[in-house]
Amino acid sequence: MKRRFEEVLEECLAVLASGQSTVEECLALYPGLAAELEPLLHTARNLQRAYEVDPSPLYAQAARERFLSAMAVRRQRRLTARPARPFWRWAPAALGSAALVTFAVWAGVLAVSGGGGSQEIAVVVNKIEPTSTPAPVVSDIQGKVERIKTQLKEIQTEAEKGPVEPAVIQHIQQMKEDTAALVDSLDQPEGLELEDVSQIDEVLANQEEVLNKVKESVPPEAVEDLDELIKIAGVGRAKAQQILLPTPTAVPSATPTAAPSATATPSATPTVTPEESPTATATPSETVTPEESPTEEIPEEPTPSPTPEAGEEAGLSATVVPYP
Amino acid sequence: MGYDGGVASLTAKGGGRRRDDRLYPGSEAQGERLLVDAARVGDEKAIAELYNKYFPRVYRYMLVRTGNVGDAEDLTEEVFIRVLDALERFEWREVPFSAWLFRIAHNAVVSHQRRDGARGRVSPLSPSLPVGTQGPEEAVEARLALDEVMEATRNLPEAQRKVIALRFGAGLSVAETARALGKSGGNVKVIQHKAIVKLREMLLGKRPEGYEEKV
Repeated sequence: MKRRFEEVLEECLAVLASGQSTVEECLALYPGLAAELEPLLHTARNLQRAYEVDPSPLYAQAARERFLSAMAVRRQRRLTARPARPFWRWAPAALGSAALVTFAVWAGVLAVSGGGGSQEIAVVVNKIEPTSTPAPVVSDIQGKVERIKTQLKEIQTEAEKGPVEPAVIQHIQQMKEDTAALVDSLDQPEGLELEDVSQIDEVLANQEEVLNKVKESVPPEAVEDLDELIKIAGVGRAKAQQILLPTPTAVPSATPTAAPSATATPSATPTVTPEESPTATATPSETVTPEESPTEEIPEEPTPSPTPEAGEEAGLSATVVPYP
Repeated sequence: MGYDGGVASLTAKGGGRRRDDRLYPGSEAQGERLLVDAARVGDEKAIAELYNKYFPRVYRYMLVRTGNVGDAEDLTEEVFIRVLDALERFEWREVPFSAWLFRIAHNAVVSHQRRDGARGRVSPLSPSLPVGTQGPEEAVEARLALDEVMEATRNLPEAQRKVIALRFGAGLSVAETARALGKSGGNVKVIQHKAIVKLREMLLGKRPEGYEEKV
């Protein structure tokens, strides 16, 4: 079977890293590629060696102590949170539940006895019901996320084969409803876990990417729906990012007794030098991208971004995980 | 261009030399699973063991991503605090623990860059940073090599820098890197190849002729 160069390179890197062979042994296996492989293997070796850097012992010790103390704080919190719930916290809930049970029993008795009040009770219950419904149900969100994922996979698979079948297009309508519901749920973030928001963000990002890709493979009558769906997903992502992004740093609150790490480690202080230009080195990294060979089969960035920030955002959305 | 063959014969004979578990920790998967499961239910010894195992790797990853010792130190600690808070919610959904952890690390870097506008902010590495060598001459040489490599890495495109940080900084396998970045393994290999080529070009560009063999 013919194999691509980057796969051969990775195989050689793997065996070199495992110590199971030398560069020469690896090159002997691929004599036709030796001239191209050899310099890259040497560079990779040097990279590996250069990165074998350890944190300074002072910092490592201080960081470990802070981590252990954060762990202790959490343990303490868990222990104190469980048994000692103050009366005023559980009493209203208990009283509310008791009242509901009493009311239900009373209503049942009246209904069985055929009393004329049952209709009135039904009216009262109907009035109460909507206010007692919780805003977004998490399992519902996960169900929708999973359904969208499955449908996206199907559409993608179909599009890879050729024009998308009309049956698959029907998914788009369902997907639109699910997506709109997910986006609506982001309007009430207090009812959501950050993990749910991350999941929504991830699926919306995936949706945008897949639907943009398959646009040319769907029948013309579906394009409008598809565009609308992409727009909804975009709106949803903006909302999700707003919820996700200003993430509070847990370190200071979790380690109240510890000094800030920058001051705790002597190695950190002498590193800041004013002569470094903050942007000079960042700019070339972005301008290098267009030089990438366009002949590669697998694109490096599936959705190239015009600005560094946008590119970063795309990277984040693809891999975001729930923040603690 | 394509070639036949493989390295199965090399991996089969194996054995004699030291295995680099930092780069290819797959063989420890079973033990790690037990450790992670214990940590999830609050076993503090298991948590501490995971911390010991991953702390240097997360630190190296942060160093490669930020190119700055102070930021790398702060972010490394931040990651472990986040892990501590999120650990009980971790689930084995085909995602290895390392990929999950380095996603948190990745997100921490992104948040940091947004928060501080620190993208591209650089400062020289601390001279007191240990580089795993023995004699003073070796240490100086290693420091120079590290400074050079770090500078070159900073000039890579973002996607390449992420892959290099995970593969060579954190020591993740291609599969783990792919999981952590939400890319395919094939894509990671392509990016890795391009990154090594580019790094080589940049490192060679900095050296006088005659140094080529060493790069």
